[in-house]
Formats: sequence, C-alpha cells, structure tokens
Amino acid sequence: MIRVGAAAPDRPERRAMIWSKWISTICRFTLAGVWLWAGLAKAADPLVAERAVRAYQLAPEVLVKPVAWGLPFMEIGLAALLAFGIATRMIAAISLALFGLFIAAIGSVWVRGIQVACGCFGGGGEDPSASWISYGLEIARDVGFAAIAAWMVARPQSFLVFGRR
Amino acid sequence: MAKMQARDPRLNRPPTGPNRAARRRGKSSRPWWRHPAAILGLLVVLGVIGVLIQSHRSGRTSGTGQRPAHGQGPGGSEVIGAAGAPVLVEVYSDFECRRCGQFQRTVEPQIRKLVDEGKVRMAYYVSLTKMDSLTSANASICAGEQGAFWPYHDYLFAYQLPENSGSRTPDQLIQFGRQVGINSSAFDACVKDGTYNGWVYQINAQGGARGIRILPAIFVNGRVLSDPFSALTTIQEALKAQR
Repeated sequence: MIRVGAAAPDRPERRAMIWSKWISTICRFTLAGVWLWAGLAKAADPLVAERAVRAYQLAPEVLVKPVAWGLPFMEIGLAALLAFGIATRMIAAISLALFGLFIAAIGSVWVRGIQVACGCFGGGGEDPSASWISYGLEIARDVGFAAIAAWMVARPQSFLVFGRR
Repeated sequence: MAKMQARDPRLNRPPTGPNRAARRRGKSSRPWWRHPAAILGLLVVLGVIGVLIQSHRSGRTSGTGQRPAHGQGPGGSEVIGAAGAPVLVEVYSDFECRRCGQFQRTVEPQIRKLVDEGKVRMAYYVSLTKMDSLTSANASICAGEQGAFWPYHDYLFAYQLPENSGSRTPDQLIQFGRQVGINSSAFDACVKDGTYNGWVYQINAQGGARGIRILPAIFVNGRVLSDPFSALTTIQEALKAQR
C-alpha cells in the first residue's frame, strides 16, 4: 500500500512537518538513485572493479575481491530498500558511514600521492591524470551525498513508502 | 518514538487492534523484515551473492579452456626467439590496456632486438584487465593458430583504442586479420565463436596464481619485476651473469 501526503495542513507546525516529509521523500529517492547507479556501474565488469579496489592500496589482498565484487551488490540492495522505504533511518545511517569511508579512501590516496581514478561509478584503476582537482571534486560530491544521508537519519519519515509505517 | 509522535499528530491516534495486542505481549509491532538484524543479514547475503556471481563471470572458476596446439611457449604461451636463448622473458599483457600499450611501444622493441640477436626468448601470455578485452585476446590466439600471432599483436597495439572508449568488435578484429595477411575462414569462425575464451581465462587465472596484480607483468628467468619498465636493465644483468 502506498500513502501519499495527507489533506491540506491547518497548522504551521503541521505544514512544516509535511514539508520535511516531502524533502525526505526527495532525499530518499535521490539516494536510492545514487546507490543504484553506483552499484550497477561497478557490477558491470568484475575485472575492472577488482583493479579499481586494488589501485587504492588500502584493502589487504584477501579483501580486494570481496570488496570489489560484494560492495556493488550491497549498494543495489541499499537502493532497493531506500526505494521501498524499508528501515529508512538504518539504511541512511549505513549510507552515511559508507560515504564517510569513501571520503576517507579518496583523502588517503590524495595524501599518499597515489594517482587513481575514483571508480565510484564504474571504471577506476591507476590514472596518471588524477590530481587534487579530481580528488577535491570527488570528495565534494561525496560530502553532498553524505549530507543527504544525514538529513535522512535526522528525518526518516517520508511519503511514498511501501507498506505501513 | 515519543518525539516522532509529537511531530506527527496522526500518530496520536490510539493504536489499532493487532498493534495493541502485540504491545501487550511485549513484542515489537514491526514485521520481521524491518529488524536491523534482518536488514544487515540481507546486505551480507547480497554481498556474498555478488562475490559468487562476479567470480564466476570473471572466469576464474572455470579454467577448462581449449589449449591451442600452436602455443610452444611455457604453459602453452605464444613465444618468439631461439629455444636455446640464455634469458627467458615472460610478458603478461592486455591489448586494450593503456599501460600495456606504453610498455609495448617503449620497452618491447628493445627486447625484440635481443630476441633477433638470439639472446632472449620471449613468451607472451594474453591476459585481461577488463572483461571486454576477451574478444581481442581470443582473436590474437586465433591469429596464432594461423601462424600470425606476432604481426597481429603488433597491429592490435598500434591501433589501440584510448582508455575507456570501448573495445574491438569481432568484425573489426577479422578486418585486422586481413591487414596482417590472414585470409582464412577458420580464423573468422574462431574470432566469432570465441574458441579460446576459456583458454584466455585459464591463462589469466594462472597469472593471478603467479602473483600478478597489475598488467603488464614481466618475468625475467622466472622472477617477477617490480617495475616492468625497467625490464631491459634486469635482462642485461641476466645476460652478463650468463657470460
């Protein structure tokens, strides 16, 4: 069952609540789209994904394949759960943690002077054209996604949710 | 929860029947699939499924490739140079990887000169940096079957596509064959059917087992080089030690 926004608001705080729920709805579907895109792009080619993870020189060799091959499917799972609105606050918290991890990973290659392509949305691997500009933009983008996730943690209530709340 | 009730007046209604019954039993009214453990479990299961699917797709689990009859190098690899040459150089490379192309343009011609002088025997293992490289990798073995691996290898690298701009199609690869003088319907069929796909996977898996993580990878007399682009120095040292 899908419930859409209730009748016209009659009190200011109620109006604010409905506004917040609509913002959360938009955030939820945006985040779902981000995860779906990221997951599908990274799941497309297992060899490229493996190379992308290895290029960061962060995960120990035994963890390279589990991360490269498991993470994209988890991301698709997060997208599905967000789209249905299931356990939204928890999924948002997991998303926030993952974005924090990604920001730390990009920050670490930047600091260590390793040149890699992000591989955030497919591709990846060593990239001689990587610079502080690309790293800065990638971090800025992930901070934006993290902000969306943080909003969802604070205000998980939204419209267009599958099933009863 | 109390905070949320204050925020949402609609939630101030008294709980409905089943809810109240559940609360009296001291149980949560959430369905099982909304519990944190179920969600985390679901994500872990998805991750495991992903690892299984991708390890299957990357061909690392198959390894039942048809070994080409013409591969006279170690492990069925393509090989050039005198059998009695003092130094064996093994190259693992991908026709569609940019760094591999760099190596082929800068270092390989110098190794080939030593091959011509009878000092080096060079074995070539067709490997993969991405799934799409499989078509051209297979085609090169098909060319090898027609006795034209090396000219075909040179041609593929000479007309290498820029990184992340797709891969060669079977039709293009057949045309490339014509350019290096392969006029054979067996070659065309081999390229189209992917006859040696399984074999390429097998070489790739063997490369992984030898500890190869980044392409190109170079072995000189069985020892892996940390920097492929310094291969010539190592080869010269190996030649000096032989004398």
